[in-house]
Amino acid sequence: MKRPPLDAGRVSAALLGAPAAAWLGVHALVVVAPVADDVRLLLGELALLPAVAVAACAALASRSGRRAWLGSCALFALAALVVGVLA
Amino acid sequence: MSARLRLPPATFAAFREAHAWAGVLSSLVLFVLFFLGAFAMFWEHLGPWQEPRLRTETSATEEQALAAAQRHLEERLAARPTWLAIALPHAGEPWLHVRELLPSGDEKVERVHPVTGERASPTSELGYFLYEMHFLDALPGGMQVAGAASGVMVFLIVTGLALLLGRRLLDLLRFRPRAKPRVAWSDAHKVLGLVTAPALLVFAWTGAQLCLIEDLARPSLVRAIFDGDEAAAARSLGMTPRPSPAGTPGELPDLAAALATAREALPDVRHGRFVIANLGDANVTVDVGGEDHATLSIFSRVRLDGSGAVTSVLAPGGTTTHAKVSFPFYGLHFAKWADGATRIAYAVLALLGALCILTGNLWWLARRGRRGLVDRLLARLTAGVCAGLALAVAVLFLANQLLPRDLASRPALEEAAFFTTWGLVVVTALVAPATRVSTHALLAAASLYAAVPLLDAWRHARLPLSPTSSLYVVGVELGLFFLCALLVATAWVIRRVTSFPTAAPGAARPHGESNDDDS
Repeated sequence: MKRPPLDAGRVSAALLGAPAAAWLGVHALVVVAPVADDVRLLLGELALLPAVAVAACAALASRSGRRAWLGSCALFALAALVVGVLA
Repeated sequence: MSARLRLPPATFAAFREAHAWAGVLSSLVLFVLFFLGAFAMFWEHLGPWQEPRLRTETSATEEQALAAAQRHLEERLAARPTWLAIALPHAGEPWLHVRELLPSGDEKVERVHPVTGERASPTSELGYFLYEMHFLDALPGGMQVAGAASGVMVFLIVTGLALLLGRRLLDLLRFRPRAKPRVAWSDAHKVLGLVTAPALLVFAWTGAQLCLIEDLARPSLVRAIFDGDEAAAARSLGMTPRPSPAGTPGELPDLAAALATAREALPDVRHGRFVIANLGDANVTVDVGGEDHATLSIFSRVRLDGSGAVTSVLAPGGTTTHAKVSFPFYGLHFAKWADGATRIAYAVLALLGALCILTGNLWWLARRGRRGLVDRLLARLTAGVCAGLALAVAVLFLANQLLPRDLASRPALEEAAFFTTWGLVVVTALVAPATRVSTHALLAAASLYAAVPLLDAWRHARLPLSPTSSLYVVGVELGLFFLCALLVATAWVIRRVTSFPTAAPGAARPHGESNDDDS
C-alpha cells in the first residue's frame, strides 16, 4: 500500500519532538564544548535555528512516525542527561 | 550524476507537503516582512520626504549643534528622564533629533534647530513606522511572530532547495506565463525562489536571530553557561551594564568634551549620537555612539562617567569573539554597511522575496482548485492582505501629504490611515471576488504611488525628479515610481494568468501524482 506523503506521527514529531530535542541538544552541545564561555553562547545562538530546521526535516524524512518520535526521544534523553549532569 | 542527487520519492513527497503547508501557514506574515523590508532599508532616508522642514539645510556648524544639544540637556534636567538620546545633525536630518524616556514610561521625540534652538514635534513617523512594521513591532507580540515566521522561512528555503535537487538548471529557470495557472505560478515560484534563495536565507536567518533567538534562546543558554548571570553574559559581548542611580545630585555632562574624548578613543569612527542616562544623578553616564562603515558591524560606543572619564569602549566590530560574529547580524540584515546601490539591490531582493511567497500561495491555490474552506479563505486572505498592504502603504504616503501639518496627533493619524485601508481591503476581499479585489487594490496602489510624488512636487512648486531637489527626495520619488510599475506589472500578470480557463474540480490532480509543475 502506498504510504501517504505525510502522516500524523511524522508531522507531530517534526512540529514538537524534533524541535524540542534539537533545542535541548544545542544546550548539551554548549555545555560540553571545550571553548570560552562567550564562544559557547555564540555557538548556542547560531546553532539553534539550523538545528531545529534540520531536526524537523529529519523527522519528515524518517520512514515512519514511530521512528521519528523514537529518534527525537533518544536525542532528547541524551541531551537531558548531558545538561543534567554537567550544567 | 544529477539523478543521484535527487531526494528519494517518499522523502520528496514529505518535503513537498511540509514545504507547502509551512509556506501557506506562514505566507501572509512573511509577505508583510518582505514587502515592508524594502521600505525598512531606507527608513532613515525617508526623513526629508516625510517632513519637508528637513529638506532645508541649516548651515549649522558642529559647535552650534553641540551648544544647542547642551542647552537642551540643561532644559531637560528638571524632567529627570530615564535616558535621553540626542543625534547630531547630518545630511539627511539637519535638525537635532532628540528622543527621551520619561520616568512615567512614555517616550518623547522632538527635533531641535541647531542654530535657533526652535523645538518641533515630528509631524510624521512614516519611515520609522514602516521600519517597525517590517518586524511587526508596532503590534503586540509582533516581533516574536516575525521571528517565528523568519525561522519557518529558513525551513522553507532548506526544503525548497532540497526539492530542486537533481533538476536541470534550464528547467529551474523556465517561466511559461501562457501555460495553465498552476504551471505558470509554479515556474514563477521556482525561478524567484532560486534566484533569491541566498539573499532570502541571509534575511531569514539574521531576522530570526534578531527577533527571536536573542529573546527566546538567550535566557536558557545564559542559565546553562553562566548560571544565569546576565552581567557575565553581557561582559562576554564586551558590554558593561550602566550603573544604577546613586540618589545624590551630580554634574551636568559636557557633551562637547565627551565628543572630543570619544574621538581620541576611536579616531576612525564618525561619532554623532549621545545617550545620557541618570541625568542629574552622581552616576550619570554619557554614551557617545558612532559608526564606522569599514566593517559589517558599524556601531561603536564610548562610555564616560560624570567626570568625563572613559569607563568602557565598544569598538566597531566588537571586542570578543561573540561580539565579532553576532554584532554584524543587524548590519547584514539592514545593509547598514552598504552603499546606495547595494541597499537598492537588497530592497529589490526583498520585493522579489515577497513575490516568491505570493506565487507560492497562488500555485497552491491553482493546484488544489480552491475546493475547500481553507483554500477559499487562503485565496481571499492572500488577496486582501497582500494587495491591501501595498495599498495601505500608498495611503500612508498620501496621508503624509494631505494631513494638515499642525495636527497634534499627525503621526498617529497616518498610522490609522494605514491600518484602516489595510483592514478595509481585507474585509472587502472576504466578501468580493478575490482576483478582482487584488487587481483593483494593486492598480489603486500603483496610481497612488505615481500620484504622491506629483502631488509633493506641486505642493512645493518644483518639478518631480528635479536635479535641484534633495537627493533624498529624488530617491523616494524614483522608488515610488518603481513601485508603481511593479504593481501594474503584478496586476497584469495576475489578471493574465487567472484568465486561463479554470480546470473543473474533478479534474484536479490527486496528491503525489507527478506533473510538470511540481515534480
